[in-house]
Amino acid sequence: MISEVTDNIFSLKQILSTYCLHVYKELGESLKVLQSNQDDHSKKKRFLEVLVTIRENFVRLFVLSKWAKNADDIYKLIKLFAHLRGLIFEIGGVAHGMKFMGLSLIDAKLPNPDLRTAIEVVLKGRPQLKTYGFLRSKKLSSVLILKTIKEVDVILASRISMARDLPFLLRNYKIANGRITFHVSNFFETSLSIGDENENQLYMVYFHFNFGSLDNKLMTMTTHLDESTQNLLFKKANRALRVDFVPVEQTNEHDLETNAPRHRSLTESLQRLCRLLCKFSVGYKLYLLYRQLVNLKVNIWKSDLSPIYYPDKNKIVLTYWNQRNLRKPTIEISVNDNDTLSFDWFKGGVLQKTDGIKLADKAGTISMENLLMQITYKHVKQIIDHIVLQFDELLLDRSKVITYYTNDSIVLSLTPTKSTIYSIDPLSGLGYFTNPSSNKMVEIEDLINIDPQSTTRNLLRIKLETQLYELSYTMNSTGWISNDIVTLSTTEMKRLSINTKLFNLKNSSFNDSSLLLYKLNFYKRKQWPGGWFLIVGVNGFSSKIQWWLSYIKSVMGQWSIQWFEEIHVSVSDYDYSTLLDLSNMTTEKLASNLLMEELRNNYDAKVFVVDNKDHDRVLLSLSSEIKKLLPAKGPMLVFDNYSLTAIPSCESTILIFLDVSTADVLKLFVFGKLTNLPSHRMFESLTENYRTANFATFPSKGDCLFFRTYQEISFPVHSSSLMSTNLLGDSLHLIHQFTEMINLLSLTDQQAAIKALDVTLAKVIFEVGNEVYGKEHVSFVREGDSVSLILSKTSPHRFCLPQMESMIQNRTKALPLSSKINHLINYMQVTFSLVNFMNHLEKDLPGEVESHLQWTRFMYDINWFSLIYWSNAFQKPGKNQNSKLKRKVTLNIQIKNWTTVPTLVKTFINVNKEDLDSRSLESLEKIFKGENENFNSKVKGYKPTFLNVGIACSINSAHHILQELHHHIISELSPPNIS
Amino acid sequence: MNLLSIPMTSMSAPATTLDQVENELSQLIETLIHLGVQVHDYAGTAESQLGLSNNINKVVEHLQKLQNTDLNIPIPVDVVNYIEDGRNPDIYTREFVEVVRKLNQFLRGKQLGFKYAQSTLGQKIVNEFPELKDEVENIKKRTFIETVPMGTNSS
Repeated sequence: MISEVTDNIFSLKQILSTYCLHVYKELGESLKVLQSNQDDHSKKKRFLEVLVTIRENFVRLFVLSKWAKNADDIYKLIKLFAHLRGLIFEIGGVAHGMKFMGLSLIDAKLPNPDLRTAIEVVLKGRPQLKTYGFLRSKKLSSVLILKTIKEVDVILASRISMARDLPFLLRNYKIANGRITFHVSNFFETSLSIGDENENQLYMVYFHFNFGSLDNKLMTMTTHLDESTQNLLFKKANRALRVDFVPVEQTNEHDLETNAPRHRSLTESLQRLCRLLCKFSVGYKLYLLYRQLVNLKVNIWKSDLSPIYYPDKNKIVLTYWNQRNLRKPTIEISVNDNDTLSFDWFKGGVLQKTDGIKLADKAGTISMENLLMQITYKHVKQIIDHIVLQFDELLLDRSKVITYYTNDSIVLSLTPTKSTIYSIDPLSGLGYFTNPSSNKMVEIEDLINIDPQSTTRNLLRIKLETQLYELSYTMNSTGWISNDIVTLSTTEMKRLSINTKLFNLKNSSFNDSSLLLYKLNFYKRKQWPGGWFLIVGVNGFSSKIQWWLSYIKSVMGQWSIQWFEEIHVSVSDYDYSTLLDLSNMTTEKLASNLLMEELRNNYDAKVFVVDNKDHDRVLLSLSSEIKKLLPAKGPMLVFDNYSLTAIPSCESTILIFLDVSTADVLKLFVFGKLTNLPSHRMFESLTENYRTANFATFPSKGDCLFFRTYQEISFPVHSSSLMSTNLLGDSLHLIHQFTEMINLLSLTDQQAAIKALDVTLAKVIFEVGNEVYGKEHVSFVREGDSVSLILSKTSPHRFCLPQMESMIQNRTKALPLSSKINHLINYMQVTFSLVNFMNHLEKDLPGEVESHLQWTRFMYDINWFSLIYWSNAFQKPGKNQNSKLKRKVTLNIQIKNWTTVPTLVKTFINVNKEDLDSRSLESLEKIFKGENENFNSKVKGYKPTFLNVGIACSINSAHHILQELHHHIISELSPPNIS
Repeated sequence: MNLLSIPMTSMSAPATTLDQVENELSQLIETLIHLGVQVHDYAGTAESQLGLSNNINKVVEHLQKLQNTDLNIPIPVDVVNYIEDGRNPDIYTREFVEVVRKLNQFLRGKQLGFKYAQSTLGQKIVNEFPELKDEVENIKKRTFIETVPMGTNSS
C-alpha cells in the first residue's frame, strides 16, 4: 500500500483562493490611492502597474490550471517516487544487516568468548584475571641474576663463536653482563643481547657514537642519541638483526656437509647491522661536518662559503670564494665504499692534487675550518705562483717589478721609492693591497677582483698609474703644467721612436697590448709658447721614463708632432731638482730650437748648437774679462755670418748665447768679432755712443773689436708656428746699425775727398768735394729705419735732392746703407761740375732775349738732365705775318758708363729727335755731325765724340761742351734783330 | 462609489470544474486587459468612469467565482516554482516521469540481486550449519518472490 504524500503539495483551490484574496486586497489599496489627491498620471501609472502584475500572475495561474489536468497522474507518480525512495532506504538497511550477519556467522564458528575478560581488555588494554596479584612475585636473587647473566654470556659466546664470518668492524667485541658489546673506533659502540635462549635472534640494547662535535671540530668522544632517535635506531637495528630460528642440530648437519659457516643467518644479520650502523655513523659524521660548515658560514666566512648537504648521496658540496668572479672552486666531502670520509678539491672544474692535506688529523679529529684554511692557502699560493710565472714570461728581469714577500703575497715595485704588497684574502679569495695609497689602487683592486684573469695586466697598470701620479705630483710641484687635452694617435706615438728596450720586456716589439700599458703625458712651462710640450713616456713594465721636447700642432682636428727631440735625462729618478734642471734644459732647448729654426727659415743661415762640453774650446781665445760678460752656462749657437746677412766687417763666426735661468725671461746674447776697422778719429766716439745696455764693444788685439748684444725676451713668445718667431731681429738690427756706421767711417779712409765731420747714432755729416770744384756738406739723418738727406745751403745738388733721397731709400734694399751712401757721395763728387754748371746757367741770359726766349732745366732721374728751350720770337711763314712761331729745343744730358772714377764716366748730349726734324735747327745737326768748324774749334780741348745725333764726352768736360751748346742754341733761338 | 462593497465571503457559488476555472481565468485576464486599456485612456469623463467601474466590478466578480472554486487538485510546489520562473511545467512532468522510471529500474536490479544473494547465502548456511536447513527453507518460503524475466517492466 503506497502511502499519501502531503509535503510540498498544495491544492489548486487553495492556490486560487489565496491569490484571489490577495488581488482583492491589492485592488482595494489601489482604489484608495486613486481617491487620493496625487497626480493623475502617477496614479494611472501605479494602477496600471498593479493591473499588469495581477494579469501576469493570473496568466501563470491559467497555465497552472492547464497543467492541472495531468495533476492526478503526476501525484500518483510522486507517491510512487516516495515509495521507491523508502525501498532504497530499506535495501541499505538490509545490506548493513548482512554485514552484521556475516560477523555473527564468524562468531558462530568460535567458542564462546569470555565477555568479561573481553571487556577488560577493551577497557584496560590487558586482561586482569581474577588471579592477578594473588601470588606475590619473588624478588630476584643476586645469585639468580648473576647466574642468568652468566648463562646469557655463555649463550652469546657460543653463538658468536659459531658465526665465523663476522664483519671486520665487529670483531672487536666483549661479552659481559649478559650482552655482547661491539666497539668500532671512530664509529660507534653497541651492545646486543638475546631474548630467548632458543632464539637465534639478537636484540640491540645499547648504542652510542664514538665521535662527536666539540669546539666546532669532529673528535673522538662519546655521543648518546636522544630517546626518539635511539628508539628508531633500535627498531631498524632489530629489523636488520631479525633471523629465522635455525635449530642447532640442523645447522650442525649443514656445517658437516658443506663446511659453510654455522649460524649463517646470524652472520648475515650482523653484517646487515654493521652496514646499517656504519652508514648511520658516517651519515651522522657528515651531518656534523655540515653543521661545522654552517657555523663557519654564520661566523667569519659569511657569504664566501656555501655548503650544500645531500643526505641522499651522502655528500657535502662546498663552494668557497663565492665573491670571486671565476668558476667557483669546490670541495666535495663524500663517503667511500669503506665508510670513511674523504674529500676532493676541484678548481675550475678540474680535480686538484691535495698533497699533504688530510681531512682528519692523526687523532682522527676533523676540523672543516682547518681543512678550508689549508686548501685556501694552497689555492692562494697557486694563484700567486701563477702571477709570478706570468711576470717571468713577460719581463726580462721580473725581480725589478715583483718579488715574493711571503709564499702567499708579492711585493710590487711601483716607483723606484715606492712599493706595495699584493696578497689574496684566504677567506674571500679577493686580491688586496696592503695599505693602498691612492684611490686608483682601490679602483684597480676592484678591477682585479672583477676579472681575476687580468691580474698581471692590472698590477702593471697600477705601476703605471702610480708612476704617472707620482710624476704628475712632482712635475706640478716643480712648475710644470699638465696638459690633458693633447692626445696622440698610435701612428703619431710611433713616430716618437719609443725606446722599447726601457720596457724590460722579453718581447721588445711594441705591440698594441703593450701600448695599453704605455702612456704619454704632456707638460709645459708657463713661459713656453703655445704648441711646445714636454712629452713624458711612462710605461707600466719598468720605472724608466722617456722624455721628449716637442712642438705639436692640431691639424684637421688631429694632433700632429711637428718637431721633437728626445731628451736624455741621466738620472732615472725624477726628483725635485732633476725636474727643475729639466725645466731649464728643455726651455734652453726650446729657445735654441726656436732660434735655429728662425735662422734657418728667415735667413737661411748655417747654424748649429755647440755641446756644453765644447763651450770652453769655442771660447778659448777670449780673455777672461770678456768671458765674464757672457752667460756662464746655457746653450751656445754658432752660425755663419756670410750665410746670414753678411754683417760687414764681421768675422764669419757669430755666437749666440741663451740664458733662461731667470723665470719668464729669455736673455739673448749675440757675440762676434769685427775686423778691418776704420782708423778715423771719430771711431772711438762712435763706439762710445753706441755703448748701451743692449750693445757693447770691447777692444781686442790688433785692429779688432768684439761686440756683444744683449736682449731680453719675455716669455711666452707668441708664435703662430714654429717658423714665425723673430727673436734675433732686434739684436741683428743693432749690429747692422753699428757696422753700417763703421762702414761709413771706412769711406773716409778710402777717399780723400770725403771727410766725416760728425758721427753720432742719429746723424752722420760728411764733407764732400775738394778744393778744385768746391766743397759741400751732406748729412744723413736716421729716423728709425728711414734715412733722410740734408744738404748744405750752398750745395749745387739741392735741386737733385728728391732724386738723391729716393736713391738712398729706394735703391735695392738688400744693399747696406753704407754702400748706398758711398754711392751717393761718389755721385755727388762726379756730378759736381755738371750740376754746378746747371745752377749757374741763368746768369748768362741778356735782358732783351729773356722776354722772347725762355728755358728751364728738368731732371728725369739722377742720371738724366734736360735743358728745354723755347722761343716765340719768329713769325710764321705765309699769309698771317703777325702770328708768331713757337720754337722749342730739348737738350738731353745723360750720364752713362757709371763708375767711381770720374774720368771714365761718360756723358751723352743730344737733342730730341722731333726738335731736329723741324728743320729749324740744322746748325745743331751740323754740330752733332762735327761739321761746325767753329764749334769744333771751341771744344777741341775737351775731346768730344760726335755721334750724328748727339755728342759723347767725359763728365768732367761735359759742362764746357754744354756751355758752347747753350750759347749756340740761345743764339739760334734769339730773334734775328737781337742776334 | 464603493466598488468593493460586497464582501466576497458572502457570495456562494456552485461546485466548479477545471474547465470552468480555466474559463473564468481567461475571462478575468481579458477583463484585466480591458481595464488596463481603460485606465491608460482614462479621461475623467462620466462615461469613462462608468466603464472603469463596470470593469472593476467584473474583475471582482471573477475573483469571487474563482475564490469559490472547489477543486482539490494536488499541485506540487515544484510545478508552481517552474511556472513562476517562466518555465514550461510539462518539462517538469517529463523529467519527473523519467526519474521515477530510473529509480524503479534501479530497485528492480537490487531486488534481483538480493534474491540471488538469498539463494546463495541460504545454500552456504545450510552447508556450513546443516542444523539450520529447516530454518533456511522456512525463510525462503516466506520470502519467495516470483521472478519476472529480465527486460520486462515490473510496473
